[in-house]
Amino acid sequence: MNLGVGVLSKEDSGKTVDFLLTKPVSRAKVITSKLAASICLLAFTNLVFSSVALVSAKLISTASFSSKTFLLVSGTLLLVQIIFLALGVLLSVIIPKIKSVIAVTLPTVFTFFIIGTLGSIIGNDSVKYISPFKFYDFSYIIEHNTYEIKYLVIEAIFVVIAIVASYIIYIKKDIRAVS
Amino acid sequence: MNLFSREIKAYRKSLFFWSIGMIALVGSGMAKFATYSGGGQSMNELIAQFPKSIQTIFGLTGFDLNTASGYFGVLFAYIALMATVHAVLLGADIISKEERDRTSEFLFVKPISRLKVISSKLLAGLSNLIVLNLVTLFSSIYFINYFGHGVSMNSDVYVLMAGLFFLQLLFFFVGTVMVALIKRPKTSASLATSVLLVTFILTYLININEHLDGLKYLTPFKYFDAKNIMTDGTLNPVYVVLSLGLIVAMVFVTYRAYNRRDLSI
Repeated sequence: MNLGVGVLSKEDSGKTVDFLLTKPVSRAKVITSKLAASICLLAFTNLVFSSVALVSAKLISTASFSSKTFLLVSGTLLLVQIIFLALGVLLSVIIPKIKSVIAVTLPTVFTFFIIGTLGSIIGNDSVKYISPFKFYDFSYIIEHNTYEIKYLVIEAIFVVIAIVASYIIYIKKDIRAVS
Repeated sequence: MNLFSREIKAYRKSLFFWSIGMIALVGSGMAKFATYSGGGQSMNELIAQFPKSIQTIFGLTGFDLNTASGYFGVLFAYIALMATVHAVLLGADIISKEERDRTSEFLFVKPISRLKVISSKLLAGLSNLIVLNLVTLFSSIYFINYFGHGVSMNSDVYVLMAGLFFLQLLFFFVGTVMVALIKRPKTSASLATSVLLVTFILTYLININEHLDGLKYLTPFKYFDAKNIMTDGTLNPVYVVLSLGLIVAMVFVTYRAYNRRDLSI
């Protein structure tokens, strides 16, 4: 989420927004490039994480297990990261002045985390739709060897709406020039 | 004390939202308790169905979840998490604000010593922490009595809140120390929150694996563990002294480091 909030707002806080936006590159292209870069970063970290986890599990585990299922479970990390990325980008275009990225990121992520864990303690089912941490239930993945479609759909809808909204807002937004 | 009142004013909105969030956390947490314990099904049976490792992750072992006090003990872990996040961000922000917003040149040419500046800021920060603590205290007492079928555990809540205050102080000063030592405000804020995250994860690891019990001195969350506090009925004096020592050391380092280093304009 830090990535999402920071990637657009750091132009503003670093006073480089003037320089960037006066270049003959449309704002949409700016967002597209930044998003693409962020997704690449996330995919890369996920790749490293998944491979290290898979290799260590194979080395340590006494019982045999399906690599595909294992990779599906570690892939949920990337899916959750993408949700937070989209949320972060949306927040960064909505909030006018972000002085400290981490002060936005940390409370948001922790709030969702707490909602998720408290909800699963209580056994309340509705938190599965609210907190991104709970979208992908591991036991289901292990049983059925695939993700639950409805959560993929929810995630896709949310990400698409958030990104499209961010584009629209950022393109129309008045951005303060560096004084 | 102009600086003090300015800082207080600056954090008014943020403190307001954090208080609302805290009240929401305590309120919704206790509301869930009411719906669940009234539902006739014993929560303990439900929790017992989870594998042992999941139970320890959530800090559920050793609590009787049917009683308001047991349930609150579990909730306290999350209350502490919220409060310490607030404290760390506050500590890091309040000192690094000047350098981040490029107002340090303006502020430090005024005829006020750096010592006085830091003292005013720290006092303002402490006031914020106290307010959040009191909000948590009152909302806890209110919601426990409202949803808890008249169980009297106010004294437990007082002790827990005292422990919470120590946690807030500890992490607040972790924030200030990081900023005082490091020149770049962004790095220091991230470092301070990493300290928080690492100690938090460490708490969970210690919960899962009993062999790591010796590490409990490394994580403040273990000093003021809800379970121990409620069984003892009071704070463990060893941990209190340890915390006070850490806090005094960190205050000292904050003052000294910030006084001496070059401020980036």
